[in-house]
Amino acid sequence: MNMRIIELRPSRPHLHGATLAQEDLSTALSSFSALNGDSAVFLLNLSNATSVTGSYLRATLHWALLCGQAAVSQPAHPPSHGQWSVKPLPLFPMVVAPSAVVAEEVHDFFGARNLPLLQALKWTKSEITSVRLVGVLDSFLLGTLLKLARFGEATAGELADKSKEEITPNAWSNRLAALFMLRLVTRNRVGKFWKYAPIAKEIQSWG
Amino acid sequence: MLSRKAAPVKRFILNTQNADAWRRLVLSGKVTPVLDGCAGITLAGALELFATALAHRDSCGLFSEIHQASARGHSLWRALLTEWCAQAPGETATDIHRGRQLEFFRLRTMKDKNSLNLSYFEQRFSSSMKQEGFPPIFSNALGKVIDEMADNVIQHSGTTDDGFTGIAGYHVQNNCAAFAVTDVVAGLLATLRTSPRWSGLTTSRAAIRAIAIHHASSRQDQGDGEGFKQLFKSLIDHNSLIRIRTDDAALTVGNSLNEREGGEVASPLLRGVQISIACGLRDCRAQESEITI
Repeated sequence: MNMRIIELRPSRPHLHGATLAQEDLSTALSSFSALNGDSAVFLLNLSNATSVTGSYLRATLHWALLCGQAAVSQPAHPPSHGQWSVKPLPLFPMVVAPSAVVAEEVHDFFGARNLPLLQALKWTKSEITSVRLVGVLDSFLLGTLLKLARFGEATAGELADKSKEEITPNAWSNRLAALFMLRLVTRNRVGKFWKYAPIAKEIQSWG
Repeated sequence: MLSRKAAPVKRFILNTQNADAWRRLVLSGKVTPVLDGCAGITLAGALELFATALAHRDSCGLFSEIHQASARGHSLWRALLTEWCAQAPGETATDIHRGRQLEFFRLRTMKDKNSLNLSYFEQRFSSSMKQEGFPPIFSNALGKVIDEMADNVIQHSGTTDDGFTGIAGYHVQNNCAAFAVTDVVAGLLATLRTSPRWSGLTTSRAAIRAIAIHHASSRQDQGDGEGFKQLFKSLIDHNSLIRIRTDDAALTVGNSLNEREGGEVASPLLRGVQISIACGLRDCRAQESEITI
């Protein structure tokens, strides 16, 4: 699906520490502020990186994930004090990590926090077409995500109709809402229902 | 007029084990010159004494003593002071890629942390370790750890009128490698207490525990801190000694050959934080190596 993509591609090979992360991320802050409620993929492109630390990932991707979650859970968040405190921003963080070592670092970082993240494998200027899931995702949520990717987009009721599993629309709704909170799917209001869609058509799992 | 008779100086090693005793000695003001009692110096001991001199610059003569030792050509103090006084960190380095036995890097601004000079400093440390025979993966991991500790200075320590007070150093010699990062502004307790989650902490000892055991972070609602996690991940199951000192407490953890040791001690007050690491090569017991350059 089409969505604005804000790409940040640090040029250094060694991405260590929150201080460097904040310096890199500061170039994207104006784009974040200009979103005005429109969703965007924040694509951290680590193609030039040969090593990355947890502090760097925490201050970039993890921060963006928390900001994305805050946009769902507390959109009327009071003004935050620090520049780098969590604030509601409609972001969907994603990483590009061609280096196996870097991809492993990202996987370990999010896995240790029991969180998933999408690693972009193929994309254009306006669309992410193929992703891989890194970190950790509950098996029921993973099944729901893969199902949604197969159907393209669906409401909870439509998933309940199309699925052979004996799960109530309410349970599907909970799962889809959890995937949205984890910034793995998008959603739009259609009438009185939420219609969910995967960010990329093709989804692979880690490993 | 009666002249004050100096107390006889007992000579002992300036290392982390004796660092607290050294600081007591300095703060007591009873023994001068202090450095005359120094039978040997390790990197961590030197930085801890230097931090004491910085913190008590106006009230004791230790800083001038260090200046005098440097002027007399004492290589350690000269290297440390040269870097401390340099306007641009790492500017004293000539061959930027060649590893050294001993080197310091001052962190005065945020730019220093993100500078290529710091990257080269870390790479030289890793290179020196590899030349000494340490495994490449471990050597590179320690390069990352020193960066994380330097990052903590910029992210958490706070500044004085002269910027940040951080200084990092490494020493590789005699089958041993060591590095230390120190600053003299905000300790771990003050930093952690800015977060509502950790605002109930009351002692420096509790702050060290929160960081070492619970990966506490001052960033509200952003989960575990990563810097110390990286430190323990890289070191804990290797042949190494870790000392974390902040304000009036210190924690030492050692994993030397087949035994793991640890302990908390009270430490004479010195604001700020110092992280000191010493590693031993293969079958050597991890210990701080005296600087004999």
